[in-house]
Amino acid sequence: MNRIAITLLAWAVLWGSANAQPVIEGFVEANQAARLEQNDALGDGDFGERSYPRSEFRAQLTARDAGDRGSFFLRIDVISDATKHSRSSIDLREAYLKLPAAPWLDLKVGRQVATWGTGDLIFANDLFAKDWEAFFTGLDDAYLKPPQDLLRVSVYRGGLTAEAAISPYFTPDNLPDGTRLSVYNPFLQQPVGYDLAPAIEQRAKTFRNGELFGRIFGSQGSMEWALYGYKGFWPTPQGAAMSGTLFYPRMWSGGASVRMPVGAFLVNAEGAAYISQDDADGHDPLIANSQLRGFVGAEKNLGREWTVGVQYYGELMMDYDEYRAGLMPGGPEFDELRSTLTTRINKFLLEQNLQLTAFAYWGVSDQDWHVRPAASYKISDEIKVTVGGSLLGGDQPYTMFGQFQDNSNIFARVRYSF
Amino acid sequence: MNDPKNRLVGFAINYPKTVMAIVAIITIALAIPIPFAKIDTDPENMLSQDELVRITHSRIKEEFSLSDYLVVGFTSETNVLTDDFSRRLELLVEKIEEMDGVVAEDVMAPSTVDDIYRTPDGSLVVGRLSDQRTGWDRQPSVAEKIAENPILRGKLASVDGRVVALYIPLESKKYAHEVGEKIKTAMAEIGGFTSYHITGLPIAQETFGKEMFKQMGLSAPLAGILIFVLMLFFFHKLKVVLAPMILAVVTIIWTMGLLILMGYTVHIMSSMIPIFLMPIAVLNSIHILSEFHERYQKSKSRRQAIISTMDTLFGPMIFTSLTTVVGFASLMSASIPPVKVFGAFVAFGVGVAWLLSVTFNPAYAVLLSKRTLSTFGRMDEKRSLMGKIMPALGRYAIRSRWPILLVTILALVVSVYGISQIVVNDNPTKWFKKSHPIRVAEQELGRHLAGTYMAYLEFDASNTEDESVKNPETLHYMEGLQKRLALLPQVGSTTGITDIVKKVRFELNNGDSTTYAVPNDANEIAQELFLYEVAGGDPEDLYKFITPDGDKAVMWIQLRDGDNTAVEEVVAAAQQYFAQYAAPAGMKFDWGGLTYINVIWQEKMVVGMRNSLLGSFIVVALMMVFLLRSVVLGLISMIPLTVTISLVYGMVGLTGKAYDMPIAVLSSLTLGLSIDFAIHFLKRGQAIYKKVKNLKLTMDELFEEPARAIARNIVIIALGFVPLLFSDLVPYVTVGIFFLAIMALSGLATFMILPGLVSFRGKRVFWPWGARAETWEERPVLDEETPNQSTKGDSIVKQALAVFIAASVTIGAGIALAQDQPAVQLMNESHNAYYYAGDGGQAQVSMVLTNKKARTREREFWMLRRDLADMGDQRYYTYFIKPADVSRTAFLVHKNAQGNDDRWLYVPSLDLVKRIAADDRRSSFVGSDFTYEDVSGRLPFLDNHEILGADTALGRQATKVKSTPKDAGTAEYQYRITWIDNETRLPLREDYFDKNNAVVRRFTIDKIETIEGIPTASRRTIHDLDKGSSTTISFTNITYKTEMKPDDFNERLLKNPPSAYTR
Repeated sequence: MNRIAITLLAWAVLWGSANAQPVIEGFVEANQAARLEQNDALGDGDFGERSYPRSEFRAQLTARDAGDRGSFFLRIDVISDATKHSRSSIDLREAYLKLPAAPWLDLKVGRQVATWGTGDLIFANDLFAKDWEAFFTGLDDAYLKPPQDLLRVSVYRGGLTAEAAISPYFTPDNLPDGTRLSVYNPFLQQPVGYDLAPAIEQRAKTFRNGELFGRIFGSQGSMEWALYGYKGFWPTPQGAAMSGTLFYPRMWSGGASVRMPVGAFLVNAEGAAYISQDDADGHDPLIANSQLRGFVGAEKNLGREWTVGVQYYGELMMDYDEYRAGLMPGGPEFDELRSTLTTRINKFLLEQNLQLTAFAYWGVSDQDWHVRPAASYKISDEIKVTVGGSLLGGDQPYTMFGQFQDNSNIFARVRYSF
Repeated sequence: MNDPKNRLVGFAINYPKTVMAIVAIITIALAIPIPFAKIDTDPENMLSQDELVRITHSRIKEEFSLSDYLVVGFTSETNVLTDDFSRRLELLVEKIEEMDGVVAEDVMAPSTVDDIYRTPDGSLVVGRLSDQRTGWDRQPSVAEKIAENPILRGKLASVDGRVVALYIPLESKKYAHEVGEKIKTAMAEIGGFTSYHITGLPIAQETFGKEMFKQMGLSAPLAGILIFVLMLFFFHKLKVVLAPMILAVVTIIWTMGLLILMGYTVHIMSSMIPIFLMPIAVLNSIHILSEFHERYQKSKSRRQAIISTMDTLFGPMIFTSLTTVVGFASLMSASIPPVKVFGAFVAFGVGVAWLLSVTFNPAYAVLLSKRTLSTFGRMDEKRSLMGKIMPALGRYAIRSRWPILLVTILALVVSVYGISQIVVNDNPTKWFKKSHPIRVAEQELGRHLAGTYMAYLEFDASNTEDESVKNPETLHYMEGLQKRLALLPQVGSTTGITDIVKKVRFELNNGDSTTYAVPNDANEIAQELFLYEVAGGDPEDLYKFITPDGDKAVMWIQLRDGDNTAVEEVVAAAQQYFAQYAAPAGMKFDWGGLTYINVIWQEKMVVGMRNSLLGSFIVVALMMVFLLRSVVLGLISMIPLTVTISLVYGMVGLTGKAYDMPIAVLSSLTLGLSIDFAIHFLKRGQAIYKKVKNLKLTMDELFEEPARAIARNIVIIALGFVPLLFSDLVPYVTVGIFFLAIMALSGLATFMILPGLVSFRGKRVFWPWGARAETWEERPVLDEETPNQSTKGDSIVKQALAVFIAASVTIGAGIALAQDQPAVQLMNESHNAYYYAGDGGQAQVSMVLTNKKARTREREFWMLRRDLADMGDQRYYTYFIKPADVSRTAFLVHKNAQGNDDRWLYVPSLDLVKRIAADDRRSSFVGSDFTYEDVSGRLPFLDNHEILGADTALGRQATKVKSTPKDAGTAEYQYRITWIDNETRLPLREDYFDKNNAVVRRFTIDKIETIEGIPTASRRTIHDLDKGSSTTISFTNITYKTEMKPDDFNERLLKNPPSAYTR
C-alpha cells in the first residue's frame, strides 16, 4: 500500500497545481459465479470455495482530467470478497499521467493497461500481462488485462508510429493458483488446490528484471501492419527448477502483424518468434524451447447486427527432438505444432440493448476446449445484467483448458454505472 | 573432377572462407557506388534522345516557346471568382511567377491573360482580363469575361464559374514536384484556398518517380522480411535461413552497384530490378535448402549432404537460371533504352544469383557448426501437411488426367479469347490509385474544365506556295479540323490562331455574330492580326500559335482524358480529316505534346515486348529439348509455361485491365519464372527414373521431396510479394499480383498437368534420345517397393481445387456505371451539402432515442470530420461522453467513396484498438434509428433518381426526387423520396417506402442554422414507423474550422481525444 499511497500523492501534487476539475465516474457491481460440480481438489474454506469460484461486490471509481498540457487518470476498485481470495480489498487499477511532450511525442507514465496486436482473445505479440484467473471466473472481459507500471513513449513520424514501453520490473500473467480454480501439478500429474499447487518463484521486483516492449506500425491503404519486439520473460512459469518450483525464464520475441479488409472479410494475421533465452538450443528439458507463434483470423458481418469470426492459432516448438528426448516418462507430451481454433458469434438485439455472444476455443492438437457464452442486457443506460458461462474441458489433465475441467462455472453480474 | 560443377562446388567446399572473403570484398566494392546513383524519373526518357517524336516535340516547344503545364484548379459550391478570391489569386500568381523553374511571362491566370473587347466608340482594345474595361458603364465580372471569350472559355474557368484554373508553364518537367509543393506553401501563406487540386502530366510523372522510390524502399524490404519469415517457418533454423537472404541482398548489391558504376541512371525501370531479383535469387536457394534439409540427417555430414544436394540440383539450376536469363536478355532487342538496360542487368543478376547459389551456399553450409545443424531436418517430412498433400495430389493428377486435360483446354480457349480482348492502353496519371490527390484532381478538373492533358498539332507551311499559314485556305482548313475534333468527347477544347482572328473580327464588327468566322480575304487576316497588336495585344501571345514569320502554326488540343487510346483516337480523327479533305499543297503536319510521346513509346514497348516474348519462347523450347534430350519431353515441359502465360494474360484481357507498361515488362518475368518448376520436375523425374527404372515409382518419388521443394517455393514467393498489393502505386500492385499468379498457376500446372501428360506418353517418356534399352528399360515393381497408399489426402485436394476455382471466378466481378441526369446532379449536390459541408468540422452531438413506449435513452458524443474531396473520401471521429459505460470510447471511420469503409473502435478499459468488419452499412449506429449508412451517407450512384416535382418541407421550397436502388440488395426499402431544399440543397425530408408503397421510415431536418456561412442541419430526426421508435440528434458547438488533417485521423487520435472533448 505504501507505493500506492506515494503514487497517489504524487498525482495529487502534480495535478493540484493545475487547478483541475476532474470528471468522476464509476460503477458498483455484484459478481457471482457458481461451479457446475463441486471441485474436491480445492481446499474447503468457510465460504464454500468448492462450489463458488467468485462471489463479490466491487465498486470502481474513476477520476480523470485533461488539459492542453496533459491528462491524468486514476481508477480504483474496492472489493468486498466473500471468498477472501482477492489479494487486497483495494485495487489500484490505473494511475497515470499522459503528456504530449512534443507534437511528435507522447509520454504515458504510471500504472496503466496496455494492449496491442490483432487477435481476438488470442495473443502472439501482445506480451503485456493477462489475468487468466479473472477471465475464467466470470469477470468482465476488461479484467483480462491487469494494469502494469509502465513508461510508455510514442513517437510519430509521417505515417509511422514507434512505441516503446518500459516496465521497471516483471509482471507475470495472473494464472489460476489453486484458490478459485484447481490447477494441474506437473510433478504430481494431477489437478490440485492451492496447498499442493507447484510453488512459483517470483522474480524480484528489480530493474534487472524489467521488461521492454516495442512496436512500430503504419498502414498502406486499408492494410495496417506492425512490427513488434519484446525483451523480458515468459509470461507463464515455463521453467522448472530441480527443487520442484517453477520460475519465469528469460524470453525475447519479435514479430509482425497485418490487418486488412479482404472482400467482405476483415482479415488479420500475426506471427511471433519467442526465443527462449535460457534454453536457446532446446537442450534443457526443464525450460521451454523457443517457439514460433502465429495466427490468422477472419471476421465478417452477417447482415444486421450479426458478427462471426474465426481464428486459427498455431504454436510451433523449435528443437522438438530435444524436447522429446527430455520428456518425463509418462508425463505430458505436446505436439510440435499445436493448433487452436477459435470462433466468435455476436448478435445484438432490441436496439443493441441485448447482446448475445459466444466465444469458443478448440485446441485441435491438445484436444481441449473452452466455451464462453454470455448474454447481457441493459435495463437502462445505468443498469446492465450479464449472465454467462465459462466452460472448460479436455482429454488430458495437463493442457491449458483441460486442467480446468472440474472448474466449469456459470456466472451472473449486475452493474450500475454512474 | 573436371566438369564445372565439381570445380565450382569443390572449390567452395574446400575453401569456404576464401569464397566468403571474395564475396564480401566484391560486395563491399560494388556497394560503394550505390549512394552516388543518378536518378531519373522522367518517362519521356523511355525513348532515346534522338527519337523522331522527341525531336519534333522539342522543336515545336521551342518554335512556339511552349512549355509543359502544371494545372492548379480551385472548386467551390458557388462562383469562385469573388473579388476577395480574385485578389488572393492575383497574389498567388505573383508568387508563382517568382518561383524557380516557372516561365513567368506565360503563366495563364485571370490576372495575366488578355481580354479582347471594343470600347463604345468602336475601337479594339486588348487589355488584361483583370483590368477595368475602358469606356464601359457596366463592368462585367472576370467570370463573365472568361465565358464570353472562346479562347479562354472552359479552359481558365468553367462556364458556371464554380471552377477556375491556373496554367503554370515549367521550364522543365523536373521542376514540377518542387513547384507544386511551393504552390501549396504559398497558398497556405495567403490563406483562403480551401478546395484546390494540382495536376498535369508533368507533376504526375515527377510525383510518380518520387513516390516510386519511396515505395521501393518500403515494399522490397517488406517483401524480403516476409520471405524470410516464411522460410523460417519451413526450415526452422535461423542461421540456415539467413543464407538465401544474404544471397539475395548480395545479388541485388552486385547488380545495382555495377549498373551505377557503369554510369547508367537509375530509371523507373531499373528501380524495379531489386524486386525482380529478390524472388529469383531466393528460388534456387530454396531448392538447395529443401534438398539439404532432407539429406543432412541421412549422412550427418555437411560435406556429404551438400555434395549430393548439388549433384542432384546442379543441372536443373543451370537451366532454370539460363531460361530466366534468356527471358530477360531478350528485352535487349527492344528499341527502348531503359528496357534494354533493365533486361541486361536483370539477366546479369540472375547469373550472379546462380553463381552464388553454387558457391556461396555450399561454402555457407560447410561453415555452419554441427550444433546448429544437429536438429536440422529431423522432422519427418512425410508426416507434415505438405508431405501428406503432395503425394495425394500426384495420384489425383494421374487418376484424373482426362478431366484435367479437358479443363486445361477449356481454360486455354477462354484465355485465348481473353487475350484477344486485351486493350493496349496507358496513362501515367493512372499509375496512381483512384484516391490519390493527382487522380482526384484530374477527374474534377476534367469534369468541369477542358481537361488537364495537352497535345500539339503543328501546321508547317514552309514548303507551300506562299510559305505562310496566314491565308484563308489554311485557316479554313484548320477551323474545319477544330470542328471535327470538337466532336470527340475527350477533346475539351482546341485553340489556334483561327480563334484569335475570329474573335478580333467579331469585335471589329460590333459583335455581329455572323462575323465570328475566318475571313475569306488574306489581307483582312493580316489586318486583324496587325490590329490585335496595335490594340495592345502582346505579340508573344500570338507567337504561341504562329511563328513570327508566319510559316508555321500550332493548334493546342486540350484533352479531358490522357489515356493513350483517347489520344490515338484524336490522332486518327485528324488523319481521317486529312484524308478526306486535301490540305493546301505542301502543308506538313507534326504532332507533339507529352500525351503524344506516351502513345509512341507505348507502341514501341508493346511491339518490342511481344517480339522478345515470342523469340525467347522459341529459344526456351529449344533449350528444353536439349536439356531433357527428348523432343517430346521438351515440348511437354513447355505446357505449364504456356498455360500460365495464357491464363495470366487472358485474365488481363477478361478483366478489362489495360495492357500497360508494367504488364508489358512482366511478360519476360512470366516466361523466365514459370518454366522453372517444369524443369525441376522433369529433369529430376529423368534422374529418378534412371535410378528406379519404373514410371510409377518415379512419379511416387517425384511427389516426395522434389514436389515439396517446389511447393515451398510457390508459397514463399507468392506470399512474399503480398505487401506489394497494398502499394499506392498501381504498377507495384500489378507486379505483386503477377508474382502471385505466376507462382500459383505455373506450380499448379506443373503438379496437375505434367503427371497426366507424362503418363499418357507411357513408359518411355523419360528416355532421352539415343537411350539404350539395357540401361533404361522399365522393370516391374516389386511388392515391397509399393508404398502404403492411402486416399485420405485426395479429398483435401478436391476441396483445395474447389476453393481455387471459386476464388478465380470471383475475381471477374464488374462495376455498374452511373447515369447522367438532372436528378442525379441534384442528388449529388444534396449529398455534398449534407455530408460534405465545408471541408470538415466538428460538433457536439446529443442523441435522444425514444422507443414505442416513449421511454428515452440519451447518447452524447463529439463528432469530428475532415473531407479529402467533395463526394470523395472522408475521415470521421466520434468520441463518446454518455452513457457512462461507454464514456471515452472512440470510433474512427475512413469512408471510402470507392469500396467499403474502414472502421476502428477504441475500448479504453482494455486500451484496445479494434477494427470492425465494415460491410454492416445497415446496422444501427449505437442502437439508434440511424444506420451507419445514414451517418456516413449513401452514395447517390447506388440509386436511379427521378425528379417528381416541386413541394414544400420545413416551410421551404423544395424539389422532390425519387431514388430507387439499382441493386435491391443494397437497401431494405423499395425506394425513397427526398425533399431537396431549392436554396441550400439540404435534404429536408426523406420518406422510405416498402413494397406496398407504405412509408416505413421518415427522416426530417428540424432546424437549419447558418454557421460560418454554411447552411447546417442542426437538428435531425428519424422515425421508424414500423417499430414506432424515433431518434433525434441535435448539434451544438458546431464549427467548420478545423486544424485536423486527414492524416491525423489515426490510432493516436483514437487514444488521445482533443482536450476540449474530455472536459
